[in-house]
Amino acid sequence: MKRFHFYYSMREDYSEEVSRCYFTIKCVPRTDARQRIEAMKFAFVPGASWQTGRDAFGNDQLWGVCDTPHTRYEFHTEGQAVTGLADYEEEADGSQLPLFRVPHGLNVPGPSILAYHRNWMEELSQAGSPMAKALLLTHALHRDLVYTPASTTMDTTAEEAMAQGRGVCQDYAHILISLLHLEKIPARYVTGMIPGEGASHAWVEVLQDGRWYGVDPTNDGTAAEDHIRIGVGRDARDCMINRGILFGGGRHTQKVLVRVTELTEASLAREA
Amino acid sequence: MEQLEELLAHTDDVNGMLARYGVRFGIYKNQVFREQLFPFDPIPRVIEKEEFAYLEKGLKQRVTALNLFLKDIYSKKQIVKDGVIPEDFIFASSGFLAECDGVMPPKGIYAHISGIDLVKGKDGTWYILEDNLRVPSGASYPLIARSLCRRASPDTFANLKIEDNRDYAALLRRTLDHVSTGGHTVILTPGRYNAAYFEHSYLAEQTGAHLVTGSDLRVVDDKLYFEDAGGRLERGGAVYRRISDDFLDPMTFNPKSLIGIPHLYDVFRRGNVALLNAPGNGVADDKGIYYFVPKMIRYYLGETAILSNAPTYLPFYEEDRRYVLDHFDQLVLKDVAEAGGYGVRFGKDMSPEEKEAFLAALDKEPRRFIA
Repeated sequence: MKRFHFYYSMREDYSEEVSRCYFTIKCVPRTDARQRIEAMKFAFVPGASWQTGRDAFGNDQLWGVCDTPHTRYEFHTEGQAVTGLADYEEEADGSQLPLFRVPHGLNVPGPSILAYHRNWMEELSQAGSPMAKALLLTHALHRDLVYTPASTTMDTTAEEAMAQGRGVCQDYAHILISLLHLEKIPARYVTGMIPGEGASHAWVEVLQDGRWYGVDPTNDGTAAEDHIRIGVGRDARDCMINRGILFGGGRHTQKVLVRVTELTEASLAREA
Repeated sequence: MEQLEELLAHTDDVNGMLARYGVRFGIYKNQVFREQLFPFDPIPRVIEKEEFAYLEKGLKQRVTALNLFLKDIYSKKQIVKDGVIPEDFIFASSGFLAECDGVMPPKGIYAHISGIDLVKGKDGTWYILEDNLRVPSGASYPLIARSLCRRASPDTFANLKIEDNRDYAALLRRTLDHVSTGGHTVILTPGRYNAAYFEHSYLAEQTGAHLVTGSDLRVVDDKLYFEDAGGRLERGGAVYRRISDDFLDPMTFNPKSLIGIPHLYDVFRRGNVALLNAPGNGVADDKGIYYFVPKMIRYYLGETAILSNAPTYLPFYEEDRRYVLDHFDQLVLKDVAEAGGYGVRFGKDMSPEEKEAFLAALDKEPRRFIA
């Protein structure tokens, strides 16, 4: 078990006044089998009227509207997360499993993914369990892809990233999901936070014996105690952290800051 | 026959009135929008009482099964677990909307208004051509044509035994009220450049619903409001929406939609508004699913389908694929994701190049086509 303090903030600046904005935000981690969230706070600046709800994948979301004219919008959330309560999450009733087996959206395979899969087919057939296969692919991808910030966009597909051999965590996750689907293994996309990243992170969960286990292809390992989960879906579009419709605004720039700090006995004692 | 001849003598009058009332339907061809008058031929296609009753029974059965299918697919997905329909046909279909998974519409109804296309074969057998469960249009045209015929030649209708369709508006209103969560009922139109704008305005007039565009509606807290002519906000309880799922709510579906209502789907998810038809119905009227509707009827209702599908081949199955290749020139080929006549091709009309391109697409994505 580990305890973290997390802080997530998003700030948008506009060149012209925004008279109204609608938003849906999915960046609220919630308590589940693996993690416990405590002392959650969030704030909208200059304010908002909002509702809480869950999307089709069970992700918590805040949705609402800001009617106060503004040229800057901020959203802050912070709290503590106790992680490592379990290594896995039980699959609820299996009714959504087909959604995580069938290629969709950004993880639909193309020639590069298929060729890569063919290269590893033999090793995969001997790897055994779904997690063993996932880790085998994770090691392979970590070696074969070059982590390159800004080499892809929000809309880059697994196939495009595979073809250029470069990408960021989102692309690593899409590629791994796409390859796992070719192995008929249910796999899903996860967004969250890890220490030292500075931005949000993405990894993959793999179904084995009715349980979801985390794999982080960007960091070449399992996703465990250091990973604070926020949302799941089939691909990045299902768990977009921030979605908005603006009236006015002109050009805009966005800044996201994520800080995850481990709270050790020593640091807690210092604070006390 | 005398009565019918009297009506036929008024053909020009009826068409004149249809023009005066602006009974039009628009079509997009080569990216150009054109509105056309509906040419009307008063010679009726007679369906006798017994045959009508048979069709009615068959259509009710079909729509009931399709509704049960939608309810199942967006909750337990039992029909897939039981292996009746391969999961690829459902979850890889562009008509399946994951956003709708686990969301139950008011009263559990998905397809309130359905447009089921029928065709009568040379042998006198009726066949289902396709199911339209998303945003079907067309009801207004026979309604107004009938009412104008009645005006042109009242005796024809007084002296012949004709099934009366004048209760359509009342039935539609009852359907809207049945699922409404309380408040006003509106018909949401994309506007006057939509193909079926005549229909939207006609049905609003007939049912007493407000005809609105996206900018007349707004979500406040977790409810939908309609801004009336005096600027007051009034609760909206049922939206007979005539815009497609994709454009309905930019916060849930296509973020580029300018005609939608932000957060409308969140309000729907909370059970605070009824949408007719429910979003996500495309998974049931996809032409790839059409093949399986008789199986659905057996699965959900334990009955044999009263109305048959037109003979259909799914290239997804090897046996059918060979049949399609061998009989290419005799078949009509459809892209499963398209509707309303788009994406329909005749094998015999394709040029050699077109045929080659088509066969390549068929080879690559067999699931995409039916014949």
